[in-house]
Amino acid sequence: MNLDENISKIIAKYVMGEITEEDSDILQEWLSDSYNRLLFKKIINPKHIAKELTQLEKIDSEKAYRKFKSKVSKRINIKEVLGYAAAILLPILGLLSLFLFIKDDYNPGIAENIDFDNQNISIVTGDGKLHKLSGNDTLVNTSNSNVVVENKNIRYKALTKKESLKPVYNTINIPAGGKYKLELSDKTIVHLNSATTFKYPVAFVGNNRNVQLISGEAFFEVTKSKKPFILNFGVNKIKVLGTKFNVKSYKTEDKEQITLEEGSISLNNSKNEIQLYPNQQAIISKNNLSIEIESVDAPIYSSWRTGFLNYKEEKLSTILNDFQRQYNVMVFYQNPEVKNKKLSISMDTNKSITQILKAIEATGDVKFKINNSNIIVLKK
Amino acid sequence: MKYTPLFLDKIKKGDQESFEKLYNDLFPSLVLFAKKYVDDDNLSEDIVQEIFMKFWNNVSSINIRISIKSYLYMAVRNNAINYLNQKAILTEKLNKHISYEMTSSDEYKILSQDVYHQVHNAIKSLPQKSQEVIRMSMNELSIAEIQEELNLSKNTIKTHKRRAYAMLREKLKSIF
Repeated sequence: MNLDENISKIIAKYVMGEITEEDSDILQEWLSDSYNRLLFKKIINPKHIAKELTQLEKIDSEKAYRKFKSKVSKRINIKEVLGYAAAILLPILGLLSLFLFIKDDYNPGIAENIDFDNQNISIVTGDGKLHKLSGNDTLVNTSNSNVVVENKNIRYKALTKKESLKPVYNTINIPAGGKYKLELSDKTIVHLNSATTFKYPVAFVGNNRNVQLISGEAFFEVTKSKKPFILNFGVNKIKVLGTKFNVKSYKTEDKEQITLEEGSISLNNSKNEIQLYPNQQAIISKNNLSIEIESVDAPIYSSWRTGFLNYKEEKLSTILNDFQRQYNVMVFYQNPEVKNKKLSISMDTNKSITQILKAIEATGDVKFKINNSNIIVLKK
Repeated sequence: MKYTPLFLDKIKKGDQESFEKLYNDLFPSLVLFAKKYVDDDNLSEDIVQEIFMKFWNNVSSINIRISIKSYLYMAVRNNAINYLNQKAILTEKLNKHISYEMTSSDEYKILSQDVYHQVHNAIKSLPQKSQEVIRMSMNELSIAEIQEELNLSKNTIKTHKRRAYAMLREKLKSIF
């Protein structure tokens, strides 16, 4: 929710005894809501006003600003001092950190080069073996016995302390057209969308909970713990304690999208660090690593879990890229310039693809030709 | 104060003067706002200080599409909740965990804070004597009490009060 500054202005005017007729109309309409009436009564209570104004008077912002400035400049000075010392200290620190941090350092490893079977959901275990997840009887991990495979989801039980010295990573691949639910050993739930590759330890070891979204889209319901949950994707990291959020980071797309539903997360790449709050969305451009923050209705962006896709002013090519993954089809453009046409549309992917393509045709400038599992985009 | 996109651009380019204006304008209101969550003066100031620090350090690289004010209110709120939740984790009172979901009480806190912020600003821009009279009448003091306190005649106070309100009206016209 954002502050409705228009309404607060009008109420302030009302409090000061200066309200125009036009404002009065707007206020009347706002007050037609019984909840707003309640807010209004509380706000204009003279006792509240008097108390607030007296307290506001007492806060010395100039003094606080001086404190602020000294903190900022101190930081700069430390940087300068460090600059001189760096030449001597860094090699030593580098060696030290090798010993100190080697355990927690997350290494994405080589899973990216594995050829996954693109028809079935499959897992590569720590020993490099590929397992297909068909039926209930697949033994996923040979060196660990904490795996429970159920229909359409996998669960990892927490290990006892003795067993968990070194992290063993598994990598799961969801082919186009598939979806899957994973429960990690800390009971964090990861919903994986079509054409997604995700790497995680069979049990969390050390001070952090490190996982990696290699490519794709996933919705996380992270359980609360003192150990931070760290999601690596692309060159970015997201650090949380306990939250619900959606990340879309396909290798084939030029931007990455993080949408926060609950809690708060800190997001950083080599260039920027930001804090994200509920119903905010960060869009990272892969070209320059810039981050844009927008207010959104967050649940819309995770509704793919139930088959709903929603787009607001989105490029046709982005929408159709999602299609390729959801329906396992290939899209070809007769005229590439239509790729950049912007479109707002909501759809239910439980419906057939022909129904949905018809809906898109109805909105504007394109036509589709379907040929087996190939879709050809034509200009109208 | 009105925050135009141009104003934000200036801050993004590192204009300290604009940032100082923003800071002085919003600091007191944000502190009182934080206090409504954590109920501690010093902690509230620390929380707001930290938010301004983060804002100043990162503003050049983030694109804020909501208003600066909304952004800062939300940031302060979430930091306050972070604090309360950390405290709950430390004392192992996890059942006391507070959700980050916006509730109607958050809505009330933000809206009322912004109303008081604007009223306060309008009063601040008046001449000293008028400010005093207004504050006292806001405090529901009778004219007699104000008279006693300021050692002024009844009519002078009435004139001040009238003048104060008239000027306030003018100010508000120009602000709004």
